[in-house]
Amino acid sequence: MINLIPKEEKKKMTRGFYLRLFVLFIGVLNFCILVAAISLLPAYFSSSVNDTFVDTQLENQKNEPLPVLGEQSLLAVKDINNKIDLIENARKDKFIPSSQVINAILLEKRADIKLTQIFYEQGPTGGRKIKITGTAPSREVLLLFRQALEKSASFKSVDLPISNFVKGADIQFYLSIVPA
Amino acid sequence: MLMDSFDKFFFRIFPPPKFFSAPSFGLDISDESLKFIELIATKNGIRVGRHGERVIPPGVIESGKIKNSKKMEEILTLLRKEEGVRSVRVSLPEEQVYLFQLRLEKAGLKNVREGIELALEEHVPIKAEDAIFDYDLVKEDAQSIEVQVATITKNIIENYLLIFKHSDLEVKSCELEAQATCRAVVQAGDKGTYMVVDFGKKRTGIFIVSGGIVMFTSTLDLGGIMLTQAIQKSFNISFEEADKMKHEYGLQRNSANQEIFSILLNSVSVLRDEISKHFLYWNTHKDEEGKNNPLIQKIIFCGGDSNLIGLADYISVSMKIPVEMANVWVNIVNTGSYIPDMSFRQALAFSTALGLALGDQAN
Repeated sequence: MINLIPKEEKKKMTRGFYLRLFVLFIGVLNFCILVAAISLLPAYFSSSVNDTFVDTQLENQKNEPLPVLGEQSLLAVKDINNKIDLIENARKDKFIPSSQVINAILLEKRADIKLTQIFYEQGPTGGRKIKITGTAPSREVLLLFRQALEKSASFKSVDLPISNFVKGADIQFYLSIVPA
Repeated sequence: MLMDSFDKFFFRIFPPPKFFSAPSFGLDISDESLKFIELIATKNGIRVGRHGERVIPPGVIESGKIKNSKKMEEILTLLRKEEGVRSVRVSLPEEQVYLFQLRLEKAGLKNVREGIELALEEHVPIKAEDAIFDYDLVKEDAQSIEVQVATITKNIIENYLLIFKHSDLEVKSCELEAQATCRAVVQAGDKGTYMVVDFGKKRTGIFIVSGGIVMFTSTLDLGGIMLTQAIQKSFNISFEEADKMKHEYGLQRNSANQEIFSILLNSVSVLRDEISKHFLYWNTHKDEEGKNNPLIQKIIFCGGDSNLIGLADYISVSMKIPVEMANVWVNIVNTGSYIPDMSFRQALAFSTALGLALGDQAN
């Protein structure tokens, strides 16, 4: 389109365009801020009311006397304290089941023998025992397992009561081991 | 093409705010009147806004030159106050503008504007430093570019702009009258070659548009008023009566208006001869490369007095070429769904103003 307006006037018009663009940008920005502020007002008032309520509650609680513990609560506390003592004493005796003992048992265990429980026991004189229960498919397999444990250097003695051999198959056995 | 359609669709759904787009009025200034019109972009397409005409007293503008700046300022200030006009697109009369084609070799050409400036004085009788020019690209090949250049004296433009400045009106563009008229009457994207005849009250503009660019313009001191005066003189009646007779009978050849036909024919034949002269010149003229100009496909009539009964038929029959009345709404509205509040004759008179106002939509 041929436009016979002097160059200076065309430049002025371009400047005017950018000025209008800038004014429009500022206007839109202000409008957005206003809309954002207005839409945030309910949330602000709601949270400030909640904040005041929580502060008041906290203040009230601080001012209230501490409740006296009942009989049951005292018993529960005593019980918990006993249990904590027990654990702490156990740590003092350093009777911690060794992974070496478990690994030694598992190493000698045959594939067809299934262990169901392992108990650690400490006698009043300080002697430690490991009690194992499990199932064996036959007497022969159970016997082989006992012999294997006896041969192991990790165990001092292996006690397999004769009553375990009453059943011929699918024997539920009970074994007592004294670690070395 | 796809992007254009997308842009149109986008701006139709989300029209830019008024403050940002600053819509302007098309302002067609002639020696006798000032026509203004506003086109408003809406969601349903373009709609015609405020429009009207103000009479310019004799002596204020003569042949496109403003002779009485103070009076012109008064008219424009009144227009601003009464109609709320803020920014305008103004047409420049043909008499003041030089239009020519220029071929620039690409070799050594750094800037098209500089190239035109150097060649300007070879084509127009204005010194380069006193001229204001702009151009449209006509065609381009590997070696050269061809441009259509419009030039005007700096004083005239500055005089125009100063008057608008004093009237507190922002001028967005100063366009060639022919360019604006053709934008209104030739369908956008139509690359055909047409002769546009703007038959006004006192003057007639003859323009040739090809490939969407105005290639040739000429102005005749012949208009509808001359036809009315001829009837007035022959029948010794008032001007108003003569004007009424002119529009009632026109160039109908029957026993009832045999006399009027003969009177009008004398003046219209002068118009026909001028059109024919330019028509032949264009169709037989060769360009710098010796190539023929594309042949004129049809003549399009516009302007306030072009709706004279029988005028189009007379020109068509005598020149053996299709002649049609302009549809000034072709690029503005779909008349199937919306009819602007303006008569056909009035719309023809507003063709230049509508073309100017369309400048907003074109940008």
